[in-house]
This record gives sequence, structure tokens and C-alpha cells, in this order.
Amino acid sequence: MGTPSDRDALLVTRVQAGDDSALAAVYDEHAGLVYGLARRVTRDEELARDITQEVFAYLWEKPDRIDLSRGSLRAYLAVLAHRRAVDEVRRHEARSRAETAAGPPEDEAGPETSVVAEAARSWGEKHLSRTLGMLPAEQREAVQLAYYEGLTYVQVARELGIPEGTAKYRLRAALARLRTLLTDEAREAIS
Amino acid sequence: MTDMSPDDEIIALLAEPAVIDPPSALRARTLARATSGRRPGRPVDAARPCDPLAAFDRTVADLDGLLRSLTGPEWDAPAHAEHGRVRDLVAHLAGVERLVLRWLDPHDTVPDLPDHVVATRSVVAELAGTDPRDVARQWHEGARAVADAIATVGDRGRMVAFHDLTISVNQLLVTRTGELWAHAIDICQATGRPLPQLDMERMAMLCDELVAAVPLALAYRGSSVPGRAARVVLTGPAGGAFTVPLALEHKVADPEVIIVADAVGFCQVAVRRLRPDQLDAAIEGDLALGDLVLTSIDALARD
Repeated sequence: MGTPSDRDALLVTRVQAGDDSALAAVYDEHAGLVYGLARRVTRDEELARDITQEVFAYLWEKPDRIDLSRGSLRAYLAVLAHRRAVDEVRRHEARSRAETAAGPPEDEAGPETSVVAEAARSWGEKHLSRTLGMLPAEQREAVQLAYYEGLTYVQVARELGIPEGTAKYRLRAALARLRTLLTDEAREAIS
Repeated sequence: MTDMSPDDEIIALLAEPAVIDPPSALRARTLARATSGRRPGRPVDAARPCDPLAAFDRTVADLDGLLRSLTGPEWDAPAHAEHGRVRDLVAHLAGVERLVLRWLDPHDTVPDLPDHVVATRSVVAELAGTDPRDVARQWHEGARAVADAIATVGDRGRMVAFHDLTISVNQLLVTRTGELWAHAIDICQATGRPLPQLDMERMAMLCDELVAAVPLALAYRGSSVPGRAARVVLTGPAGGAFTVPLALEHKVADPEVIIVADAVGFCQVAVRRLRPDQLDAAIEGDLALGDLVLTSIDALARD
């Protein structure tokens, strides 16, 4: 089956038709991402397991909510997992505040959790495609191919006519830069 | 409505370094939880398959309505390579209903009539001088008599003859519904009308029955593949996901090919109004096996 987006489209079509073996295939391909992301944001294995189950149940029950013209299946699942994980962290924090009379407690999961969660939320709310525009052109180009068009490192390299190592470097550099921008913006939002 | 905005893609970036192998037990729990909320096998917007007799009834009514709308010259329009004009095609159908009534009667002894077209030639000749509207009325009365006879049969699993096939009464209804739909398509094409559509309940029934009949279709063509299976995924409200053995056997093997196709197109292939190579289908796995299934699903069609 042709490109990654063709493969995504076929898997989603099969899920819509009720093919549970397609759901299993999606799980095998993306569960590591969903679980890993949920665990990184929540710092809680049990919650990460619950979130993983919820994300795939949601995909199975509402496959018509996916618009693959706007991103890959992998990105869609990452967004679902992230949103759900951020909601969990917020719920946990709200509970903690309610239970403690003396103001907001120290974040048990460490500062990174809430920063990442807030930042990601903030990004979504503030149209962060602008942030992508702050990357150097060669990094932005690589990111767009990898994440908007779902290409692998190897395919990005081939598409841009550059060595694989260079493609990998550009993507890593772009990711590091995005993280910095994200964290700065999140700090501003929180402070 | 979707859950994504373009900016969400950037959020997804953050996830990439987060990949961790989940606990192995989570897979089964996750899949079980998902499928407890929505049963596998049916599409999200699933149509409820109707009873095969209801499908036949509705298709008879549709064709009757179409025939009543025909004008004088339209009866003489060429409609079918073997049956000829619209009027001759309807006379053929009148002949088919007479034969089916006899095959449904366990006490009747019908001569060996393996060829569907040849079997009705005498009736077509008999009705050649009859006003076509009267031929249509005779066909309709015959079709109604068939429906009434089947309604009183009781056991729809009872095996009956149909030309060179021996099939259940339900399979007979499926084949006949397909035949009437196919000829309605012929008549509409011949007279410049929009092609007739079956409602999704009928389509869903046809999909279920046609997929279930794949082993029989392969056996009829002498191309059974014992010990192997195909996953057939039909898209649209009438569709669903099915694992089909490729021989007449109870044990279903793991599928070696996945065929994904539009449900309506799949049914059109099964009634021979779309060639398998015209069907927009995606085949993953053993391509030859996939082609074999798609080229066999019309084996039980008679038109």
C-alpha cells in the first residue's frame, strides 16, 4: 500500500467498517507513542494505561472524527493522548488544591509536567503554527514533511535530496527549538 | 467535525521522543474495552439488513413501478445482449417466475434446465405477440406468487433447485433480488433513466449473504482453496468486516488477504453489472487470492 497517508486512510476506512483487526494494527503501530506520551505527561503508569485504553476506544467508536487531510493518524492519536493526559493532570491538580487549604501544592510530578501540559494547551489555543514559522527554513521544511505529510527520516532525506543523517539532524534540531519556544511561551502563560 | 486543528500537529511533535513500549497485557485489555463499546463487524453508521424475502418484495415493487413508467417505444429499446429488447427481457423474467414456482414445489418434477437464458426461451416466444404491459403484468403476478409461496415455506434453509444450482430458499431470494436489480439497471440504461438504487437495508442483506456465499461460489467454479481465508471489508452503511473461508469448511483460518471495497460496488460485481477490475478495491496480502475472491462472487448470479 503506497504512502503512509494511503496506509492511514485504509486503516481508518477499515476501522469505520468495523474491522477490529485494523484497530489491532493501529494499536501495534502507535500504542508506544500513546502510552509513552500519556506516561510522560501524567508521570503515572496507571493513568497512562487508562488513557491508552480511552484513546483507542475513542478511535474505534468515533473514527469519523478523523480528518486525515489535516494530519497523520499518528499525529491524531498523539493529540488525543496529550489532551486526555493534560486533562488528567489538571483534574489531579484541582483535586489536590481542593484538599489542601493552603494554596496550590508543590507539583508531585515535578515542574515539567504542568509546564508541558500548559504549554501544549497554550499552543493549541494561540495558533502555534506561527511558532513553526520561527524555525529556520530548512528545519521547517523537514518538519512539515515529517509531521504534516507523515514521511519517515529516510523519506524526508530522499524528498529533500539530502543525506539521511542530515535529515535526522534537522528534525532533532527543529524539535529542540520547538521545545524551547514552547517552554518559554508556557512560562509566560503561567507566570 | 474533527478533533484536529493544524496546530495540533505541532503538539504531536512533542510526543515523538516519548515512545515507550506499553505493558504487554495492555493490548488485549485495550482492544476488549474498545470492542465492548462498539461491536466489531459492522460500520459505525450501519444499516440493519432486511429479511431476504422483504428484499425480494421491495425489489419486485421497484421493478413494477419502473415498468409501469415505460412509454410505448421504450419497450422496444435494446436492453440486454442475450435477452434483447426490454419487452423480451420482461418476458424472460415472467418465464423465470414460472420456473421458480415449480422449483419451490417439492412435488413438481422440473426437467433439467441448466442454462438460465435457454430455460425461458419458450416463454419469451409464447409472449412475443402480447402487449408488453400485459407481459409486465404477468411477470408481476408471477413474482408475487413466488413471494407468497416462499412466505408459506417456513424453513428458508430448505434446499431447492435453481437451474444447475442447489441452494437454500434464502439464497434463492438473494439471487433473484440480484437478478431483478440487475435487469432494472439494464432497463434504465436502455431507456436513459437514472440507475436504480437499492435501499441500504437491502444492500446490507446482500452484502451479508454474498460474502457468506463466497465458499459456495468458489466451490461452484471449482476453485476452492481449502485451509485459507480472506478478510473482506466492505465500506459504507451497508458494509461490514467479515472473515471468509475459501472452501466449504467450518474451520476458518487466519486471513491471508484483506480486501477493502465499497459495499455497493461489491454487490454490483456480484450481480454482474460491474466488472471486478472496475471495482475500486484495495487488496493487501496475497493479491492472487484477493483477485480470486473478487472474480468469483458473481458465480451464483443468474440474469
